[in-house]
Amino acid sequence: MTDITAAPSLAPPRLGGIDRGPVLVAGAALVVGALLIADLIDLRQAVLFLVGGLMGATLYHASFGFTGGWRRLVVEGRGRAMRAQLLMIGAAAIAFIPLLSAGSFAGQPLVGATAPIGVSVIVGAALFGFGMQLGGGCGSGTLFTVGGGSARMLVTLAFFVVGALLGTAHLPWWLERPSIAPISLGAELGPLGGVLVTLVALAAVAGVTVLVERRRHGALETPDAPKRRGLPRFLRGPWPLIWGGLALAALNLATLLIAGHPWSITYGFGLWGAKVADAAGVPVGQWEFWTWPGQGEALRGSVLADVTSVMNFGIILGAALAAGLAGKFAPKAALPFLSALAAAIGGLLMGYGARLSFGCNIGALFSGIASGSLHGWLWFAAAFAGSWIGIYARPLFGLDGLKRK
Amino acid sequence: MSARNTLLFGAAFTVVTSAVAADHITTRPAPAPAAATVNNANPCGIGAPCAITAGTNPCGVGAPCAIAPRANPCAIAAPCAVAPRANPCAVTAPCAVVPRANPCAVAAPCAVAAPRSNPCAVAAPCAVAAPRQSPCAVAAPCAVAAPPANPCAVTAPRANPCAVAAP
Repeated sequence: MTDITAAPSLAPPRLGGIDRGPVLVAGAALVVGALLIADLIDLRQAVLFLVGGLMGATLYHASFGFTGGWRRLVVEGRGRAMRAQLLMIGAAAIAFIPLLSAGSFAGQPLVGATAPIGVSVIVGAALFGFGMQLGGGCGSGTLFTVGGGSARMLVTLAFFVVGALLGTAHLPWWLERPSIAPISLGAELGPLGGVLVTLVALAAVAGVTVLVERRRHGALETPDAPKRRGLPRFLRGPWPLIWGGLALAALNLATLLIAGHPWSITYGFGLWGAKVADAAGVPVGQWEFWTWPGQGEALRGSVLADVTSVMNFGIILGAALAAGLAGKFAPKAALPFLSALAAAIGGLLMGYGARLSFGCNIGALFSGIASGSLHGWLWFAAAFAGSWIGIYARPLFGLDGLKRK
Repeated sequence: MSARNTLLFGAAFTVVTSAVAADHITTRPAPAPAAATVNNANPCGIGAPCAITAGTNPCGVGAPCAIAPRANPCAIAAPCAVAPRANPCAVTAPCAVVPRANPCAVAAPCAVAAPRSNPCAVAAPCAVAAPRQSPCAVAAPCAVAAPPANPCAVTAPRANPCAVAAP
């Protein structure tokens, strides 16, 4: 659902349609990486790295991204991808809200992705939505397409990191803009009430996508018949969107239970940017954001000790493994200047917007709504509006825009 | 598979792996999170991680709760929601264990959502409305357990919204 584009392959060694080199490198990196992280940090961090790997493989095999799904609804009037996203969020919410209301599970304290509701969320999410249409992928989409070998998305990721770093520079100012306290549906309505309200709201959005699709096409889209079945399909994809969504919900739940907080992505980007800038002599350690106790500790500590970073590494490697198994690693694709420019602008806006709005489509939308936090819904609305404008802007960069199909 | 793209990604993989290794070697690993216990579920308790360092202790005498809003875990602008590591309710913090002890929980007396009972709020009438719930009250566990670590203690009158001298 992102802009990954497979082209006919020309080159290196392939075994039965598998890209052997990337499979070996990514597989070895996952195994060796997990062993090293277990040794250098702890077993929990190694398990989270492998959970990231499974997320990457799932995202790739199910082509599970938000950017293309939202664009398909707006441009083509097809809502299948969006409904899979809503199903994923709903499935996670059924587990998250009661667990978070309990406060802990098997001795592990749990905290949800809750955040204040205010100007920073609206502005940040709108920028993110606009940026993801230019960048060609959201937070998770950028990671799994980079893992799949997309050169264009490498540009998006690089500027995503820069944008996230800039966001950390300005976040303190944005936090002083008007906002109200975090509102958790689980805390306000109780676990059952929180789950019910969340599911009804998700179903209402899904209902709108059904109405749009029926009005435009008369009937709902049915998925194409799979080219593979059984184990070959499991290993090499493609997976049905619904499988992907449910698997990601389960993996986010695993993250919550193991890490104590839900899945997030973009905090790691800001940290990577800060570490690179710090190494280059930029005094980021003096920026207010990086003087906050937790942020300062993360900046001074090893990147391998940061949960989000380690899971991001796992996602990229898992996607690379899946792409290699699918025989689609590093597809040959032209990268015109305007397209690269769009990727850079999109990455910058996504990074900056994600920092302002307390996360991306994963940390704020998926984990936020699943945690019962109202800021996730505000993020959804603002990002969708931004994405709509972004779709109009795509033709300026030679990308397809609001051309009806 | 594009050979040029594969080479590009091979180079990127090598650079990133080297950068991660260099980062790990040149920085100290973050300490492993301490397991939360009932004892340290009290954010003002002696055993709470909050109490270890005055600078990061929202309950400490020198805590900037009342001075800098962003350092105040009860303030809207608090970094609670920004990132788990800065969140006093996150994995490493004991607050999350007991919702009412969690300064970020909606139900907590410190919560932003409940400004009238928020001891960090300027206008909080906590001591008047619910003395036993008030961490500023004499009978409050915080005050009993660790007076010096209690932002409402006598030693921190300006941080005590319930104190006579409080603005």
